[in-house]
Formats: sequence, structure tokens, C-alpha cells
Amino acid sequence: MEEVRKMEEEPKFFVRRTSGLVREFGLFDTFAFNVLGYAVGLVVMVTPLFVGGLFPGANIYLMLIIGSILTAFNGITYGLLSTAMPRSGGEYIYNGRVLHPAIGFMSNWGFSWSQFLGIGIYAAWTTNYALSTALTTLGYITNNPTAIRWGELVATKVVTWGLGTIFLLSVALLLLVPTRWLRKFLSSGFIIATIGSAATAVVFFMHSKEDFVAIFNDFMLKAKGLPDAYNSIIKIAIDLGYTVPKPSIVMTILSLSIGYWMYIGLTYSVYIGAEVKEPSKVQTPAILLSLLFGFIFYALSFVGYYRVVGGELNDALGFLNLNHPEANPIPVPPVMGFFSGLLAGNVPMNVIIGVSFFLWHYLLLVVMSTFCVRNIFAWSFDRIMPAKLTAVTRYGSPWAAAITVVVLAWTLMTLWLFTPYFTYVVNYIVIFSIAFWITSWAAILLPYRRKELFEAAPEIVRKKVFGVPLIVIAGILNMFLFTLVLISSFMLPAFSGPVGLGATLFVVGIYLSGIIIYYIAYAYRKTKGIDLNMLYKELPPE
Amino acid sequence: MRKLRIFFGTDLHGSTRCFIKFLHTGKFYKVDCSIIGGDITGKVIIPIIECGDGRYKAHFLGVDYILSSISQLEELEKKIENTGYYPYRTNEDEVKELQSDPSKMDALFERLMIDRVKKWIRIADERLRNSETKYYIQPGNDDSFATDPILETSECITNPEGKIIDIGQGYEMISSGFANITPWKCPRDIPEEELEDKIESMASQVRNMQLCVFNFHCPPFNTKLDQAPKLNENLQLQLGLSGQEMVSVGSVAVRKKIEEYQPLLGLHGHIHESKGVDKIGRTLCVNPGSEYSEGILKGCIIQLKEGKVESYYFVSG
Repeated sequence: MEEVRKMEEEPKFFVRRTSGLVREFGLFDTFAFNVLGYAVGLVVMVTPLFVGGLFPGANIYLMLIIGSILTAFNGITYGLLSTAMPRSGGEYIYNGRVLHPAIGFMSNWGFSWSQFLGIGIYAAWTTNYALSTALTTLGYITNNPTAIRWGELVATKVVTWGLGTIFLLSVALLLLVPTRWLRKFLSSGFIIATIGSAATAVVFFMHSKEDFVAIFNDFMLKAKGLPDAYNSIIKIAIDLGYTVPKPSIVMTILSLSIGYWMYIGLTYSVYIGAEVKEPSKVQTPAILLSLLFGFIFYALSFVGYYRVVGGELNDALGFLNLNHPEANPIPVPPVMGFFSGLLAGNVPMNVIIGVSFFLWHYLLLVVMSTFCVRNIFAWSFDRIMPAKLTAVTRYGSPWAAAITVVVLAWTLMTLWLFTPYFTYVVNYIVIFSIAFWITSWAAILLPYRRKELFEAAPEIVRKKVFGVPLIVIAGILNMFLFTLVLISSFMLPAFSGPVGLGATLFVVGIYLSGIIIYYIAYAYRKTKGIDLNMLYKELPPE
Repeated sequence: MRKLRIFFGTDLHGSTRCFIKFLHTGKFYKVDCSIIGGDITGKVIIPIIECGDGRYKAHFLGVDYILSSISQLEELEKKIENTGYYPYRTNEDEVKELQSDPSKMDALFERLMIDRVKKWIRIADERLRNSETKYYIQPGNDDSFATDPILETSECITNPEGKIIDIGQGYEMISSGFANITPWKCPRDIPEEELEDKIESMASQVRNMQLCVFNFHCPPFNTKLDQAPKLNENLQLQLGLSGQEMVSVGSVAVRKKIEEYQPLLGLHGHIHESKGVDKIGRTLCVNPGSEYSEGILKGCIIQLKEGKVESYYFVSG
């Protein structure tokens, strides 16, 4: 049978008048959801410092290009799986249908725990990093002691806990409004945050390096009494063991995990798959558009930043931040927004930058909470979790699951702020990367284990490259990417978190508990006439 | 009283793959009765047009096909049939004729729908002869009245429309595929008052409402089962300040009669993406949703025991 691209004659099909339906998230909403998921405006602020400290000599542009290409296969893997199975719940659905229901639950349970932990940490960071940095930066640049004092105050543990609690409560309220309002809120927030981040980058293109050095030195002299701060900071770093790095291919390869890290969240729309309109036309394109947007945004921001601030100062600050934070004389976190605000030098611009930085943190909280609620809802709907968690308001908002997510996140935020527990055991990247790695198998095996499902899927899912299904190729490359990410995570604790015995047991415990919960639920439901293994088992089609 | 296990699916919309799967539900899910709650006919005809040189061309699921052999033709026809559409071999002249004459188009749809249902009944009667599971299929609001007499000819499938049926273990079921008026003015769209009368005429004869199942294609109004996008008079999506507006489109009559009689269970469909459960008083109402075009038979398995719903869960077969 020959498939051709063009046909001249109409019509292509006839339709009679019957009832039909649509879903909520369109292309733009889905695209915005994913960009908010990887919080481009937050990540761009810290990445140069991160790369300079962790991978001195790495070529950040090469890292960005290769990292983006590898990430594209992660996006394609999840996008195509979500197109073939357009339901909410991510790997719970894909792995559950293609591999085994217990594997589906275990992997999505593990992924969701990484997000519960993430929401807890981000609730605190929204205060003690985003809000604090925005206020102190504004205070120092505009010489406003009140703003500095407020900035320092909100970074204290108790105030961070209090404001974090308020932020989480506001997220709970947002999760209870009808989906269309939530979608509108996220899309509007995305536009405002993006404008702020774009303004941050544009400022760099309006100044030269000479401008920056003069303004920076003047600022540091007034704020800290440090003369010739630009060169002094590099000298401080050298005195503490920093050597000016030479370009290094090895470091560039090692930094590829950051090339992916910059896009963590790119595929979050698959967890709300049941709410995405026309999944075959929206899901994969929205994910890839988000990637393209991020790539362009990162590239332009890096070009502007390095052109003006310079790699020498950035790398020296990266070294100091990682190894001797107490020796860094800059009074605020030396992130991109600080340098941009310093160059702009006025209150409105610094407010815009600060609001944008705060919004990227806060909206990420909302995004993560939104899909965690969908995951819990999917488990409960299938009776792995108590059916009471499927309770919804009269507008269809899943209140029981929303409260569960917020209470869990609040508990974890409290633990993170007041105990050293997280420092010892929580390796966020390893936790979710295992789920992504397992999902590679669902993509690779879909055409063979669920042939009927594959053949009934939209054309985009059935595409072949040199006779091999694209989804299989994407799955293999996704597996390569997450093997790399997992190796990097174990080699570079500074990148992903602790890697000792405690951390390993914690990760194993999370995934093992997923399997145990599934089989306890399985045994219990069986006594009630419910066979969980039959949830997605295909009926004979012939 | 012993327990009774029910499989309930709905809105197959012409998908032969889903229908064949439905025939397997008895053994696969170990149920006592298996029910399809309406909308069994398809919505789309895919013309497979003669090119004049022995080849055919067609457009299906975003792909244009050129078919140069009978085996390719049959393979595509099977694919089309499995998604619920109707493949139709034709030529350019007939296509033009169909486009210009709605009555001819309607007649073609009717013919293809009848042929498909006849085929299904033939397969069912062959396969279910020794089945211990009872099978029920009723038409829904989208289905032509021409489907009823075909369903009635089956030896193994019962059309429960308008009947009070003992489905086993003392449980009774009353059924209707009619719906309140939709914007599409489908064959079985009727005013609420008429629908209420239909339900009342059956409900008033039920022996024990504690053991009764209401099998109504249309879900009750203002529940989690009846949420659909708001449309304007041109059947276009109604966008408000907050984006797509969702409204309740279920039947007031269905809700009224459930509230009044409080049966054990309500089985509903109609709104494909409003999969869910809701409770009206003591009555558990379910809508398993539909993914017929993907060849997935969605359903809900309900276990009744001692006059109560012991358990229920949704499956994607």
C-alpha cells in the first residue's frame, strides 16, 4: 500500500451530524505548561554559575546544543506515548499498559515522589531564594536598606516556613478552581514571567563589557568597599585554588547532564494527557516547541551574559560559590538577574526582573502540583489508592487529591527546613530519572507488545525511520540519555544530591514501596471482585 | 441472593474491533451479563475512489493512500472498519452526486450502518451460541431506528430498549437509548417530557427498585458524567473569558426519575470524555467513557451483592 502526501480531489471523507467533544489544554497552553515545567527563566539565571563551578572549561554552547538534541528524544518518547495513550498519569499509563500494571504504578509512584519532594523544596525556595534574592538585589542596587532587610528576613527559616505554607495554601486553592481558570492563570503567568526574563536578557545586549566592569566595580566599592572588584574576585578565587580553565572536551561531555537538567519538566504535559486537546496534533508538537523555545532563550541569554559579564568572572564566582561561598564578596546571589539589574540600574527594571524570578518559582509549584494531583487521581480511579481520593468539587476539581499533595509537600518542606534529613538522602534527579529510564522500555516495546494499540494510534506515532518505528528509536535514545544522567548523578553529588548508602536506600525504598503498595492493593481488591491486572489488559481483538 | 457481575460499555460508534472485544467480555472479565449502552453506529464514511487505472485512492487518519491491489484495498477497509468508520468503494461521479444530494448521502449512511449492524449480529450469533453470559445491546440517540429490527433478529443478543428485563439473581434492568435534545438533532433526541414518560412507563412496573438497574444512554443532568463544552447555535465552541466553557448536558428527566425511584445503579454513556462516577442519593451512576476510534473497549465492571454495589472498577480493554 502506497502512502502519499498529496491528493488533489475533495472530499476526503463524509461526516454525519452526531454528538462530539473537546478537551481543555490547547497548543499554547500545553506549550506554556511545559516551559513553566522546566522554569526557563529560573534555570537560565543559575546555569552559567553552575557550569562554571562544576565543569570548568566546558563549552556551554556545545553543552546546550548536544543536551537539547538528546532531550528532544526524551520529548519525542513521552510525546508519542501520550499521543498513543492520551490519558492523565504519564508512565503509570504507558508502563502499565505496555509493560505491567505493577511497573506502571511503581515508576509513576517513584516519579511522583520526586515531585512531592520538589514541591516541598520549591515552596521554600520561592521564599528564601526567589523572593529573598529579588528583594536584596533591589535593595543593594537602589540603595534601599528596607528592601535589603526584608530580603534577609524572608530568608530566615521561620519566615521561609511561614511564607512557604502560605504559598502552598494558595496552590491548593488554585487546584480547586475549574481547570479552565487554572489553565488561564498558568498561561497568563507564563507570559508575564517570560516578558521579565526577556527583559533580563535584553539588558545585556544594550551594554558593553566595559560598561559592565565600570558599573560593577562602582557598585562593589559602594556596597562592600572592594576596589577593582572584577579583577579582585578572580584573584580571590585564584588564591583559594581556582585555576583559569582551558577549553575541555571531557568537561563538555560531563556537563551534558546539565544540558538535560535545563529541560527537566519539558514533558510535564503528558501527566495531564487527558486534558490536552487533539493529542496527535498538540502533545508532541507542544513538547518540541517548548524545547525550541528553551534552546533559543538559553542561547540568546548566554550570548548576552558572557559577552558582558565574561567567562572569567562567571567561572571564578562559580568556583567560589561551590567551594568557598563565604569568600564571595558579592552581597547577593550572583545570578544572571543580579548582573542584569545592576546594568539596568533602575527600580522598575529590577522589579520586573524580581517579579519574573519569583513567578518562575511559584508557577512551577503550581504546575508540579497540578500533575501530581492527576497522578494520584489516576491511581485512585483505578482503585490502587482509596477511591475517596477521586472526590471532586461540583466543578470537577479533584479536592481530595489536591489536599493530599499539598499536605505531603508541606510536610516535606518542613522536614527540609528544620532537619538535615534531605541533605543525607534526597537525590531528586536519581529518583525521577529511574522512572524516565524505565519508560524507555515502554516506548521500545510498544509496537511489539501492544501491536493493536500501536496500529490504532495516530499517524505521528506510527512513523518509521528506515523501517524502524520512530518511537522505538526515541525510546533507545531516551534510555541512553537517562543512563548518562544516572551515571552523572552518582559521579557528581554536587549536581544531583547525596549518593551514599542512605540516599541509595531511600531511592530503592521509594520504588520498592510502590511495588508493595500495588500488590497489597491487588490482594485487597481481589477480595472485592476487582482484578487490578485486568485494568488495561487488552481484550482479544479477533 | 447471589452476586451478579456486570460489564458495561457504551458508544462503540461502528468500531468492529470494539464490538468483537465486547463479545469476549463474558469470559475475559468473568461477568454474568454484558451490556452496551447505545450509540453503536458510526459517524464517518471514508470514500475509496476508483482512479480509473485499476487503482484506488483514499484519505484516512491524515494519510492519503494509493491502493493498487485487492489485498491492499481489503487491508485498508479493515483498518477503517476497526476505527468505526465506513469504507465505501466509489467513483468520482458518485462522490459528486453524494456531495450535491443530502438525501442520497443519508441513504448511503443508513445502508452502511445497517450492513455493519447485520454483520455484527451474524458474528455474535455464531460466537455466543454457548455463552453463559447474557449480552445486551441497545441503540443510542445517534442510532437510526433501522437498527432496532436488526437487533431484534439476534438469537444471542437482547435489545433491552423500553423493556423491563430480569438480568439474573433477582436484579431487574430498565433501558432507554433516547436522549434529551442535542444541538445535532440526532434520531433519538426527544423532549425531556417525552423521555420522562418513557422512563416512568418502565419504572412504574419494576418489582423492587432496591434491585433495579437504570440503563439510560443519557446521563443525569448536573453530574460528573454529563460535562460537555458549550456550543453556540452554529455548533461552534463557546469561548468565554476563562476559555472553553463546560456545561451540564445530561437529562433533567433522567435525574428526576433517579432521584424519585432511587434505583441501585445507573448505567450511562453519551458523553465520551465524561468518564466517571457520581452518586444521586443511594444510586451509583457510572459512565465508562469511550475510546472506540482507538480500538479500545472501555467499560465498567460492577459487582452487585445482596442488593448493594459491592465494587466497581473501570477497564480499558
